[in-house]
Amino acid sequence: MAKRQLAMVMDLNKCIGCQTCTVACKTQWTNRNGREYMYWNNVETHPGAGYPRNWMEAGGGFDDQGNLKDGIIPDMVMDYGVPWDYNHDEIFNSSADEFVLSPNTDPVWGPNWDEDVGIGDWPNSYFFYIPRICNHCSNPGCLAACPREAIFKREQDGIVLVDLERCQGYRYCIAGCPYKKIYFNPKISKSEKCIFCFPRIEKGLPPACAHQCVGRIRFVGFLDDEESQVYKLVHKYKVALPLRPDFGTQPNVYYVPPVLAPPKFDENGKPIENEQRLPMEYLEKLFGPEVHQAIKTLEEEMAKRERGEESELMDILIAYNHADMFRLDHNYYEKIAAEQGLKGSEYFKIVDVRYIQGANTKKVEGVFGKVYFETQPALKKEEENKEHH
Amino acid sequence: MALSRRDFLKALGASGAGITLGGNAAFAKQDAIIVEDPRQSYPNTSYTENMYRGEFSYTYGEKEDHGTAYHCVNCQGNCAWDVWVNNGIITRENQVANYTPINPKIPDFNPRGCNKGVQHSHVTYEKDRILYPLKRVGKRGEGKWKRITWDEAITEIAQNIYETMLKKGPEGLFIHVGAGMLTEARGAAGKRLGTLLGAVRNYIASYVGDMFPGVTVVYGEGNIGCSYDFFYTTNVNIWWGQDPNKTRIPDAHFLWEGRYNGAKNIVITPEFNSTCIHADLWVPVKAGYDGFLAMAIINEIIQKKLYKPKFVKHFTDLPFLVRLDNKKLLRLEDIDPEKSPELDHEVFKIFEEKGEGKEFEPHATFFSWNTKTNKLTVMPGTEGAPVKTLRLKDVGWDIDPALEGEWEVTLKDGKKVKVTTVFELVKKEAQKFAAEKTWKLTGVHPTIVEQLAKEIALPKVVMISMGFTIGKYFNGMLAQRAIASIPGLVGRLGPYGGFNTENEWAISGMGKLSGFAGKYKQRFASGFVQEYVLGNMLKDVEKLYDDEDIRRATGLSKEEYLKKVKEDLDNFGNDEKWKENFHNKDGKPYWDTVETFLIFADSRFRRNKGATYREAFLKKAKFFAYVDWRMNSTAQYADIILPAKSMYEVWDLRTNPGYHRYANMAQPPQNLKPIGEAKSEWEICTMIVEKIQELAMKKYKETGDEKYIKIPDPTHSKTGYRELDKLVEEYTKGGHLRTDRDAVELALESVDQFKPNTIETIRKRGGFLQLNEKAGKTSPLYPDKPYNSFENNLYLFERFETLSGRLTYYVDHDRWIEAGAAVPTAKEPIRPKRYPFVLMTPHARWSIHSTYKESSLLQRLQRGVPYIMINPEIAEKKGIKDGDEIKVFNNLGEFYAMAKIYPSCPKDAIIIEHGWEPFYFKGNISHNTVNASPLNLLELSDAWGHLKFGGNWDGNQHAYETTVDIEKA
Ligand code: SF4
Ligand code: SF4
Ligand code: SF4
Repeated sequence: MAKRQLAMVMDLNKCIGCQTCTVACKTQWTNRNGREYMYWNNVETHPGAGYPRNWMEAGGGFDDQGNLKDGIIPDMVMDYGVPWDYNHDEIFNSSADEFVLSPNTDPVWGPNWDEDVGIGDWPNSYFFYIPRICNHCSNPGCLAACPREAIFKREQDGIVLVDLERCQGYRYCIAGCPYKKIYFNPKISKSEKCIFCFPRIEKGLPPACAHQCVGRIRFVGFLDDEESQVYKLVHKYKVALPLRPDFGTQPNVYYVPPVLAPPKFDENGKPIENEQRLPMEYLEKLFGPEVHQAIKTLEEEMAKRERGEESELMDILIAYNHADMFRLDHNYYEKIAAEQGLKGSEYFKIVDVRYIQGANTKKVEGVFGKVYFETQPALKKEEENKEHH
Repeated sequence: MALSRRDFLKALGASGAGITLGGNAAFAKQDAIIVEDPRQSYPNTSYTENMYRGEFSYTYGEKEDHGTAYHCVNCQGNCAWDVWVNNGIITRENQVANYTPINPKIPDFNPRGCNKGVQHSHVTYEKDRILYPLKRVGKRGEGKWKRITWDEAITEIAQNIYETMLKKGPEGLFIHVGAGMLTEARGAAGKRLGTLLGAVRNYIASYVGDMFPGVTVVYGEGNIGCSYDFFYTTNVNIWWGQDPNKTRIPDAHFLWEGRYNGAKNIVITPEFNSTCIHADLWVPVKAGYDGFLAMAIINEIIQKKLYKPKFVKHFTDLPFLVRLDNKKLLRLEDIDPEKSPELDHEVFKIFEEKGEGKEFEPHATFFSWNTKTNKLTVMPGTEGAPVKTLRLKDVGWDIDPALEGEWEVTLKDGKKVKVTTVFELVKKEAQKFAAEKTWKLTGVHPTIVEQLAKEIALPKVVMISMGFTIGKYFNGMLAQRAIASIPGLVGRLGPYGGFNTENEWAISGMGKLSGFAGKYKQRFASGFVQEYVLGNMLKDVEKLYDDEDIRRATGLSKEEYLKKVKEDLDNFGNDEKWKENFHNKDGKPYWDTVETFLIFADSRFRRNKGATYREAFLKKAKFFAYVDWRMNSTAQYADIILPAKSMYEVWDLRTNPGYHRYANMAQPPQNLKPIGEAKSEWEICTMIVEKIQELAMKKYKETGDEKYIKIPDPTHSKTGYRELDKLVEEYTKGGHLRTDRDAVELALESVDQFKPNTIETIRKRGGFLQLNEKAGKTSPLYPDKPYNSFENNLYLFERFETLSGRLTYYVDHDRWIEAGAAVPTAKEPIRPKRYPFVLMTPHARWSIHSTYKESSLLQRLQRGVPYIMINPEIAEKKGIKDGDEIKVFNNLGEFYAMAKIYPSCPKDAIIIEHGWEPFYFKGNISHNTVNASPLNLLELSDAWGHLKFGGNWDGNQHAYETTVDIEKA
């Protein structure tokens, strides 16, 4: 196992399906070089086919015995969707009566084709959003499937990467990943995938999808850092669960399951008490049997807050301070860099000091004890007052 | 650049069904270093890592080079972005995410910015970017352009403006800044030019149908409410006709964080939208029946005595007396204050004494019946009362006005009339809409009405937020008013919540950018009637709505209705009529004298309803110049197109709307490589005034005749003239205001609420400043609390900007009385019954109106072509499958789009998100073709109290009032 593991928690009660994350990742990594069709981060409407289409039925992952299961490579046209372009330039030389701005290939499927569709029928329809990135699994199906051992987990943080020097483009990894989160790059004939934005993290900037998530649903930190929200949500409160744990890859992206939904209506339009819009079986399929306890915990803590009581869990999920959602432990990366002889390297120069706390953060004595990062004066003041009294 | 589909298929070497690969297949591992377990350790990782590290460094560039920006289109987000740049090319953008938290117990506003903003870098370099000044060389719309120099372009525009001024005067000009540029600094360039020349422009909000006239009726202004962090602190939030998860993306987190903090979210919309999914209650109201539901709630609140009498007596006109003989409010002019036997003469005198020289205005002074003295008592705080406070008890008076009862009052001529309270009349009207009676119309079960009334009345803090859709129905103004009337009954102002449309900050001093200290009056035209003036809307209305439709919605026959509309329209049309009738007669100001058009950032041809607008407009436009950064369906028909800079290339400042307390500053990245020959609007306008002055001076020097530099303008210039020899001096403030950067500097110097700040302090922070305490209009802006309107009214008893000085429930304009709308009420939609489906066109998640609709990155996350959402049951009946092309039609026309089967769509409606440019559709015919926008006579009314044409009182274009049928194409 990698020495430490970075993780992300996504709160599905807060996700608004805006796809800011998707586009942020795209402009950071996948708008070029054969990656155009890839969505290292996608957001899909559930219940639904997802992206690539029907990925949950496309095999890969491990069976109960720990054997890798067969899988398929999704189809470019019908499952991923071809990234069409437009005849934008023709508007300058066509008559307005004739010009039609149109895709250069007939769209038949795409990464968000069934946006907001879900299930049921008005007024009792239902849907919610699941954003997905590579899970940087502890037991990656992609890695196990690669005959060249060209996929590895970074020792320092467990990020799963394809060694592009070694990768020969066999694409077994795609079949082997049950989440279909590794992609074939036709331009370089190698596989590529979400890299958890490690180059950003190494410089003190959270992953693009998480940092730029405007719904503020994503927490990033090390799972062994007991002060991190990911630790608390995953281990302490156990409200953050992996997606499809039955696939056996041990994901390191976790989800707070959706608990909020309005009542359904009877045929007279009267709200029906105690009937879920979203069947529990569906949530159980997605998040495993633990989902019951997680939902119970969430409901109990929400009820506390409604009564005006304190709840640490609610405080975490509310995330008062956006900067506090990320604990990137920059001191740790500096140490690694030094060990690798990369000290002083451009790649580790901090570009942003707001997110770099972590288990290895040096605590410097200040007037009231700790010294905090200057960028968070509100927090600093509050803590100082607390200590003062 | 994306690979084409064929390339991809080739590269993949596979198509059709996916290929199956065995997971454990053995493979020859030639020449590879042996790796024991790549989960544990891996020998050499640097090739891959350094490649990605290099890519990141490339996109990030150097921090010092970065720009700051936000998107100035008609999106209300106003989010600060860090613009990354490498070697002069913009690579991407990342939210600044540095807004200072105001309180450790309230979530901050980071990282503000949405899915559209996050790809502006991409469209900045898209191929529809206008790079050079272009001159039309074929017929209009033929698509034949010639690249010309800036000087040639500016000369042609200046010549046309000058000729029109000489021939027709300023009223021949139309200079308009559209919804594509809603910022204070940048948008002011074109506005300043228009105001200086005396050109006509119309209000934007009403033109795009985003005004809140019904809210103005009640509160005296339409844009009121809170900063979005307020929603975190409430007990209940009601989202009426709104989908904040889609249309308030940067602020939506406050809803769900508020939920975790114990606040309920209730959504009232016909479709089960993306906000409903996590709401506590969704109320599926039938499209266009929101007003009926609001009235049912009002009835429930009154019948169950959930209203707050003490509040209502102070802050509403509900205790005011109404004459039963003519339904008019009882005014001071009706009685003889000397002789009236019922009047409390003592209070009357004290008001005169305390008035500090102010006298009663008999037409705007009103009464209640004081239960303490059992006398007719003049009310303080009205527009015509010398005493301006809303206090009912003060030195010298103690009024406890009756809410219910009937009395007799002696008029001037000795005649006696019966009077009652507004409250009694509201109560009576509301009874007509009791939940049991309106259930079948609204689709809302009475138990829900009961619940809503309680949720609104009982908790400590409740906020009703209303979206733009409500005003898009023909009787939407009445629905807005009915909804806005609810919170006043239950005592909600300031800290107790109330009503939210869009908060606006006070930014005094900004007027310096667009105005001339009152020297010139802007020729403001109505946005409401634009389609009638520049287009042929009346014809479409006549065609679409039959007598029965119009009777149902107005109570008038088609003939009567059309006659009145035409009469109202006829009250305006030029300077002369304006002078005669402005604030005097019903109708809305407009000028059909316009012939030379200069339009900035307004894709109007994609917005106009009906099929004939464009043709009519182009016939009117002798000359039409258009300024924008991208080609659109309006630019396609221009005579001259000028390339504007887009959002990351200019200096700009934006404050409003007041969703948050920060003003953002745009500063272009250092060393940015120019994109084509684009220029900022400030530079463009400066060039235009220079050229006009040059032309005028030349003519003057040639002839010695002053008429070539002095254009008469008796109605809109204090001097009576527009002096063309002083244009440059005036426009540039003596040379100090020529560029976009000058504008930003002037704004920073002039606006009180920005102090203390300079470009440097703002840049350091990440491109924004925090407004100081003076920014609150009707409440203080506390340093550590979210903002909400009307705290000053609640605690300091300040009057509202209404005729009664209070929240207004009674409008006794003759036309309103005639229409049965003196008190809040609801009326049926006008949409034809001949077709089965309401066409709903809500704001999209994917575009700000038409802006960003053409982005390939965003289209790939939709369906690439316009699509229509249809309920599955309806689709099945019609034999329509997902992905089919369908025809949508009524007797105005037809258009084609892709079907999307959508379970959350009601069965009596179909949904197409708005903003699609016509050129996305077959035959250049969009969804607006099947729509007409009828004028509501109440919205046309004027000259009553605070209902006078202006930024708060125009009407809305009605986008939701058509029905259609569909079939598989
Ligand atoms: S999600 Fe898929 S690609 Fe990512 S580590 Fe797990 S198995 Fe590999
Ligand atoms: S972590 Fe980075 S690479 Fe991975 S999905 Fe998010 S933005 Fe994309
Ligand atoms: S940006 Fe955040 S809220 Fe928006 S879709 Fe992505 S994960 Fe959800």
